[in-house]
This record gives sequence, C-alpha cells and structure tokens, in this order.
Amino acid sequence: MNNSFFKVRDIIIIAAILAAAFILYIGIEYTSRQGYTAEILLNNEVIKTLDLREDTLYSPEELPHVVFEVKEGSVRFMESDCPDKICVNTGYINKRGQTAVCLPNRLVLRIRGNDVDTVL
Amino acid sequence: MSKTKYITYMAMLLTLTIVLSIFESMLPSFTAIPGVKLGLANIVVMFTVFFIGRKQAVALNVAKGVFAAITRGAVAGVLSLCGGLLSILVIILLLSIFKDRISYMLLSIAGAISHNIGQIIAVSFMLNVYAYMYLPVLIVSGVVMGSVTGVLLKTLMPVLAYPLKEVGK
Repeated sequence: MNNSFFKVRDIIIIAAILAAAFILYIGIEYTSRQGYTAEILLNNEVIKTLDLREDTLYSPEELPHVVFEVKEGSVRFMESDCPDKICVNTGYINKRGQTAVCLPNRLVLRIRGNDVDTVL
Repeated sequence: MSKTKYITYMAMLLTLTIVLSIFESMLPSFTAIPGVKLGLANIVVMFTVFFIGRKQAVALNVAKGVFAAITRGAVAGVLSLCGGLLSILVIILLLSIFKDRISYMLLSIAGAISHNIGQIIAVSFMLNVYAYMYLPVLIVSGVVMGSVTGVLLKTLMPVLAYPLKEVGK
C-alpha cells in the first residue's frame, strides 16, 4: 500500500460532506413540526400514549425505575435505571418523528407523526 | 510469514481490537447522542485492510461483533456487527475503485461515517424508529472521529507493522 496520508484535495471533499450534513440538518429542522402525542413502546409494542398538552409523570408497570415526564408540550426520559443514561441525556423532545431510545430496557419514546392537527 | 507466526499475529490484532473497544466503552461518553464514539478499534481494522488483507479485516469485524454479543448482549453485538461490516465494506469498495489515489485520511473518515450509518440502520430495524434525524450529527461526528483515528493510524502504523518487517513478509 502506498496511498498518501492526506491530500489537499481531501479538504474540498470533507467540506462537501460537512455541507451536505448541514443541508440535511436544515431540511430536517425545517420540515419537522410540533407533535401533540407521544407513544411509549416496549419491545416494539405501544404500551402507553401520552398527551403532550397535559403535564404528567408516567412510569410503566413493567419498568418502575423508568420515569417519563411531560412538561410544557415536551416529553423526556426523566429517570432510568440503565447504565449508559443515553435516554435521559437525550433530553426533551417535541417534534414529530423525534425519538428517545433506551436500548438496555428496549424502550422507545417517540412523537407521533400523523395526528390530526388541533389548533390551540 | 510462517503459519504459526501468522496465527499469532492475527490473534494479536484481534486482541488489540477487543481491548480497544473495551477501553473505549470505559471512557465517559462526551455527548448525549448514541453512536458518537471515537471508534478506536477501527484503527486496527483499517490497518488490517491496508496491510494484511480484506478477508482478514472482515473476519476481525465479525469476531469483534461476536465478542460484543457475548460480553454486552445481543443488541450491542448486532450494533457492532452492522456498523463494522458496513464500514469495512465501504472502505474495501473505495479502495477497489480509487486504488492508491485515495488518502488514508479520507478512507478513515468514510469508514467512521459508514460505521455510524450502519448503526442507525440497525437501530431503525430493531426498534422500529426513524433514527434518521440523528444522521446530520452522526455524519459530522464521523468526520471528526474519522480524522482522529486517521491521525492515530498514521502514528501507530510503524508499531503495528513492526512484526511484519521482522519476519520478512
């Protein structure tokens, strides 16, 4: 193998990749809208639907150590007993299609995409 | 290289891959986004594809996935396997198209990005979610982490290749 380590041309390619990522980000941000319903899935099955217009706390019967919090139209994993806490660190979500995932507990929190819009 | 030395050398590379992935899982993750990782084990895999062979690099990734499945559960195993295999396939593809016209740095970045994309695909299938929203973040993190592992690869190359010279490949 006698490839070079780095070429000046690479900077252009890297810049193009970063630009593509940025455009993708803008596109996703622009097209995503506020959702009003969140679903909680355990092992790919919906176990609970939460209305984001009412502030509540919810904990699944099967997993009492996991707590979800609905606050001001957003929802998050507030507490979880998993080791990595990726779900908790994801923070609040409120846009359609957004998800927060807890792989160790096989839990998915997602904002439902195709509600009928209700203007408040 | 004699058969015994070859087996020993490959065992050393596999050990390095596993030790690096364990070491990495011990580091605190510095972001909230799953999948934003350094990918230290990729250094060894890339070294293998550049200097040993393509089959061996694929085998290394499969073995790494099996190890992740045994120690951290099936989910981690599938994630590791999907990311690793897509990453190595992209690197092999780029190498066969561009041969020596593509730099190590770019290959390393391409490997890191495709590793992340492989994991997104695996998560989407396993949990029925659309993880594509993370795509921009994971592409950027792939560029950053790929650059870091690229530099590390360049630094470690002489060390890793030392046994190859010693026995006169």
